[in-house]
Amino acid sequence: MRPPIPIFAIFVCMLGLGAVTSMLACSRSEPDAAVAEEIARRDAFRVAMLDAEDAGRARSVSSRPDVMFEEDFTRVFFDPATSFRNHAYRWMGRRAHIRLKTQGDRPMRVRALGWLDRKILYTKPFVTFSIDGQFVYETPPTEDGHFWGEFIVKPELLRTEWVDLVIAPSSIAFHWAAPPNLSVAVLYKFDWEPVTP
Amino acid sequence: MGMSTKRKMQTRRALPAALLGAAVLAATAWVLPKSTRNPLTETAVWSLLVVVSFAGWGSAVRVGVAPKERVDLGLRAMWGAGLVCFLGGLLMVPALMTRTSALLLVEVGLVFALIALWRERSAVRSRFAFAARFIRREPRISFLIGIGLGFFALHYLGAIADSHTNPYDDDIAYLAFAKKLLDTGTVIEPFSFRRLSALGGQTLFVALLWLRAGAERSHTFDRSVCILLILLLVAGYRSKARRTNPVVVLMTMALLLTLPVKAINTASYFSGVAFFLVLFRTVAWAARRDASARAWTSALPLALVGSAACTLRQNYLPIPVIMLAASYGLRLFGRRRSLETEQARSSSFGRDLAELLYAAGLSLVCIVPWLVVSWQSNRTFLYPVLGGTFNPALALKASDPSILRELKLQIGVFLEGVPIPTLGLFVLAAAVVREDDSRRPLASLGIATAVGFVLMVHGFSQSDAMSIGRYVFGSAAAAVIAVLLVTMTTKAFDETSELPGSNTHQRTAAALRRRARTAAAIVVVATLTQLTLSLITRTEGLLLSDTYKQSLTNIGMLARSAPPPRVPDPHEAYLLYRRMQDSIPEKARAAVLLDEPYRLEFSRNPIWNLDMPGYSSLPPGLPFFQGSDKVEEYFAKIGVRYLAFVTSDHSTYHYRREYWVERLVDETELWRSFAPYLIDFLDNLTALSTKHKRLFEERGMIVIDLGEQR
Repeated sequence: MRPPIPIFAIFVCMLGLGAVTSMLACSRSEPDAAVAEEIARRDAFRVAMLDAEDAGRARSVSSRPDVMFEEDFTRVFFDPATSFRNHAYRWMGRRAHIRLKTQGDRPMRVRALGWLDRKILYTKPFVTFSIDGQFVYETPPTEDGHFWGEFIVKPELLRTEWVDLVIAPSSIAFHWAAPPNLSVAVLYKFDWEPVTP
Repeated sequence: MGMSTKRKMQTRRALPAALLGAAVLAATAWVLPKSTRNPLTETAVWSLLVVVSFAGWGSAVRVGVAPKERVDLGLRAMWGAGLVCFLGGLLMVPALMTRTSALLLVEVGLVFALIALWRERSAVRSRFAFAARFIRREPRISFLIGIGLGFFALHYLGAIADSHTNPYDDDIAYLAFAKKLLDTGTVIEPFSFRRLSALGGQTLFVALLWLRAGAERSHTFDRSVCILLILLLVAGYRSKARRTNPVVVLMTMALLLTLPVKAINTASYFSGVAFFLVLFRTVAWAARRDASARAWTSALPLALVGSAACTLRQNYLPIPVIMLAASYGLRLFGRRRSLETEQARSSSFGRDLAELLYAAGLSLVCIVPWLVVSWQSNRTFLYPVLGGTFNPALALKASDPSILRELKLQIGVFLEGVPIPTLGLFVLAAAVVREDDSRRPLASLGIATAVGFVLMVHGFSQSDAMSIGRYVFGSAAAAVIAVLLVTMTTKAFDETSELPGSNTHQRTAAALRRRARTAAAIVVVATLTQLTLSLITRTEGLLLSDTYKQSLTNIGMLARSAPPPRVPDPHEAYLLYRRMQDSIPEKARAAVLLDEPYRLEFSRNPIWNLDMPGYSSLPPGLPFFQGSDKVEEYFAKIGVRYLAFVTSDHSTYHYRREYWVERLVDETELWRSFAPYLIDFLDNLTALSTKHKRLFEERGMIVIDLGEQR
């Protein structure tokens, strides 16, 4: 009587599995420390290169390894639009969201500069900052619409690897269109750095 | 009946096959000798001969696995392509897949095709007779099919005439791979990320076409040959041995020919559709086979096409594996429930298990040569599971791996990335329809596509929805076509199909018919919606009508163009590259960072393409952000003395420094991560070129000798 599973089929299968297993075992793996070192060098190089190339303004509003611009932000625009070395900014909406990477239990400083078009708003709005849903800071704009938010985030609010910062300018909700397409609020500088003693 | 009458009848029966054979021979005799010909005609004829060659190899497979069964042309051609892929990989291991071997592969396939034509002359005649009868009986549908074929011809020739190649992917890498394969018999590129990202099946197929088509006609394989193969697969589809309704074939053809083409280079796009569709069709073919058929005969074609699909793109790898696992799994457990006796269950289970083991074993056998070549090139058998020469500092996953971000990207790719906005409706139809056979080819393809989709998006989350959409298009489009075929041909849809027996049976039959009609209605709505969207949606600013008009212009220009003299190549660019390469001593190893490395003679020098510096390099790893001295030390350590590169102020596209400085603030993380590497490397090359002797310098192309100081 023939066995239900031919011996040859099992043999071919085992041969193949054996070959693949041995191949997998032979492959090279990179030590993590060297990788981390290279990433750190790369990030430093990126910062130095952008500053050397007179593109620091674009750097401060572009996503980077520890700052990710998310919903309610447009892409980066330049004024004039011809070069990335010019004044850089993002239009922002009612609840502009940024993901921030924490550095263990170190307190971190947020510095955000922006502008609200008060001629369109017909009012004096204010800008609030919250981290993971908790209010942390509020600032009104100046007469010409610029706002400056600088505050320290305490380690108690930075318990996870990434946190969500929401910048919420009031009075930019119009009934006929959704921000950020309204083009009434911009962010033109954003810093996120550990507090140095 | 007299002998002469009998001979006359035999001659008449053999006439269609003889005419086809004569056409193949005449085309071969015309296109094979090295002489000058109009590029459009030459490429069209050669590409069709390659398809015939695939069919020839597939006929040989058929003789081995199912000599007495009907296997349609599409299935044969794709099985043949799978076999050619296996043989190509096998020849690449000892670096023998040269121009001569490639030519031989095509020619042997043509011989097999001629033999098959002769052996099956009666069948060929009956196909011709059927076509003639159909035209007489259905003149209106025949007219529509004629129009469809006209559009297809336009599409086919339009892709041949599209000489635009992508300076980012094709010019610096993909075309060079095809040239290198033909020059050296293999593609060893330890510094190339693009080499790492695919086992190389697509390169092999492009190289086969390149024998007579050349670099400017490199879209021919993916956008001409593969579309033809897909249409053959659709036309040859049978549900329970019944022909597919020509209207369904027309619908599928219209859907396929109007889909927006988001392929931006010559990498796998439609070839993915073709290989996933044939996987579906081969599973369906195996399901129709007699239970007495030997297990390996069903497993072999599955292994050939499944492993060939894996070689096209690295992200295709899980799909055939999951599809076959799902198919066998559903069959093994479905059959156990449905069979009446314990003995029948045991016998069936054993046979299915044997076939599963054969399929797994043979698939491994078919893919092992490609894995070995991958090891030879990039020190990995299975990227991305094993990194090999890949630089882990440039991981492709987003640095902020939140579930929300992942979900957003998954949904974004599904809704915006895949250029089939009606995909959701096809998924709905697939959920409604009930398949007739236990292997469940549609369900298996659906499961594999879904899992492959999720894995792809998960693994490449640094990228954007539109880019990832191109990578998942192959399996998604194949699944859409499969849904269309199954829902429109399922037996339960047929009014005349009646299940005998009790009222319960009849109620079940009626319920099945209702489901089948619902699924068919959804598919019709989805297809019509898709056709409308394809007609009114702009892709890269162009409407579909603009694309066809552009194709006509290109075809006209290429048809009128003078045949290019073959040897020596008169293009100034080739002469420039020749002069540059001549400055490097013969047989000396060189590393290059050039805009068009496919113009190099890879047989003259062992050359490594630096491609996208940073992603991949030989151990101990190309140093970055540490200055040019370290780079010099590294090249000395790995035995590279000559560096050829284009300066960033002369580069036509990819190696422009200013462009990459701007990418440092790009919205896509992938480019923000990579840009520092290229800028650093370009700066290091500039520094090295001031320290070392320049052997060549012309139009921004420089060759430096790292062994001599300036």
